[in-house]
Amino acid sequence: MSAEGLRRLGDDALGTALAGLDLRWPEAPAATPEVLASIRAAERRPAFGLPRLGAPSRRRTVLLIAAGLLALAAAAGAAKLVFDLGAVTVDRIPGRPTALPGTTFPGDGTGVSVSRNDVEAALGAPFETPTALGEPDVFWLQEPSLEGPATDPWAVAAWRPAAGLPVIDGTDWGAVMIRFRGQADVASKGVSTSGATVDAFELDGRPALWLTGPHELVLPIGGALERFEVRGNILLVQDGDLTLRLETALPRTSAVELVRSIL
Amino acid sequence: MTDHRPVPDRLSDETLVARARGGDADAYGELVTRYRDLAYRVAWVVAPGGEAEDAVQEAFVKAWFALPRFREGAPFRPWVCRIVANEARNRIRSARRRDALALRDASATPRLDAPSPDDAALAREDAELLVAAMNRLKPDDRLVVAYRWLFELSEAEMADALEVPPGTVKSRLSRAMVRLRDAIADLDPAEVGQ
Repeated sequence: MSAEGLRRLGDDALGTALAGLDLRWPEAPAATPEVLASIRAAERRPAFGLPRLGAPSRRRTVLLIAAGLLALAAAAGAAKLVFDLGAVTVDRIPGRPTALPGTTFPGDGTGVSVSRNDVEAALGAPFETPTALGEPDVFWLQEPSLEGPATDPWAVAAWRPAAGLPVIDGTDWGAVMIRFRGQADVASKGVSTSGATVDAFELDGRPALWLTGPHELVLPIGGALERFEVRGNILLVQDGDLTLRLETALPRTSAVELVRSIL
Repeated sequence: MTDHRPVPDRLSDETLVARARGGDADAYGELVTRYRDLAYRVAWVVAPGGEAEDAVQEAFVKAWFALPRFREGAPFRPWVCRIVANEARNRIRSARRRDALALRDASATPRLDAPSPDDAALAREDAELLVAAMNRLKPDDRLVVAYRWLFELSEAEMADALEVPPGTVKSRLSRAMVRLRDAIADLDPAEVGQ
């Protein structure tokens, strides 16, 4: 057989070929003693639960510490904190919001809408969207061309308001989901400590942020940085290499359920 | 956590999970031992390299603390696959080295166009082509393919492991197989057998 021959096989035949491969798996380490020792050590600790073994743990610890610091900062009323969640950075700016851009996202200047197929072809992966919202009404695709760290294309799906999906103030939309891949910072948010809230938490073990209140969103569109005003509630979740941003007028529990359904 | 209650051989997963949920660490240790090979392979498929060991250990620790949320009567295998895959995914970018799936040396592999299973021996070069194509897939596609064809998860287990509706499993697998074929077509012969 040849590459062409393999390509012509149906899914089952190709799968059978895979199943028959004699793969050289690395020997699994005897994990049991280490796992049990870690559990025992963690249970002896008075707080913060899990023992942390690697980078995600450090990230989570940073989030926990940041959440604590945020409370202190809010009380003091004068501090700037930065949350880095995958491709999105959230700056916490002391004081009242300065003039917001007035342009909401998505809207004029977002670009030309494309089909789901086009989006997924460009992303090289499915763009999973919550089935509870139905198929999105519109997709957009953005390929950042700004100088700086290489970033993958990112995509936007938007749904019109419907029963159970109220309109987001200042927009024509009921829900807007943005999907970023990679860790390079693509989007940033400026959130004032007065009038907006940022809550760092975990969604099934994944770092997440819940933002409410008007704030600013900066996105690279068509080779330029564009500023937008955000009035909806934002759920940001980092799932490995993916960062998802869901904007709705829904409460936190509903937004969490929507995003959880695609993680 | 209670300590050192003897665990008889081959208790069902359900029994072990129930005991573990009650704080029986030895029962949980038996589950870890039972699924560590699979867990390690899942981590290896998602993020081949030196991070797999850490990913598996941390995943099992997380799973212990998540046991109170584990749905009673649900299968343990796909649940632990899901946690391991998530953990491995989180480590992709921090992996210090990259490895890849590989064939055993001089392995005999089944042939697809053979008239009977007895003389089924896929040519070594075809097997290497297939492995190289798998290595070119994105981790999520590789995982879907591996769940189905390497680890033989059922469709229901895959849905559980991937946290998607059963209907989505078919479409995801189908798309991944398309991309596997594309990878086969795009392979540079120099990559094969590396």
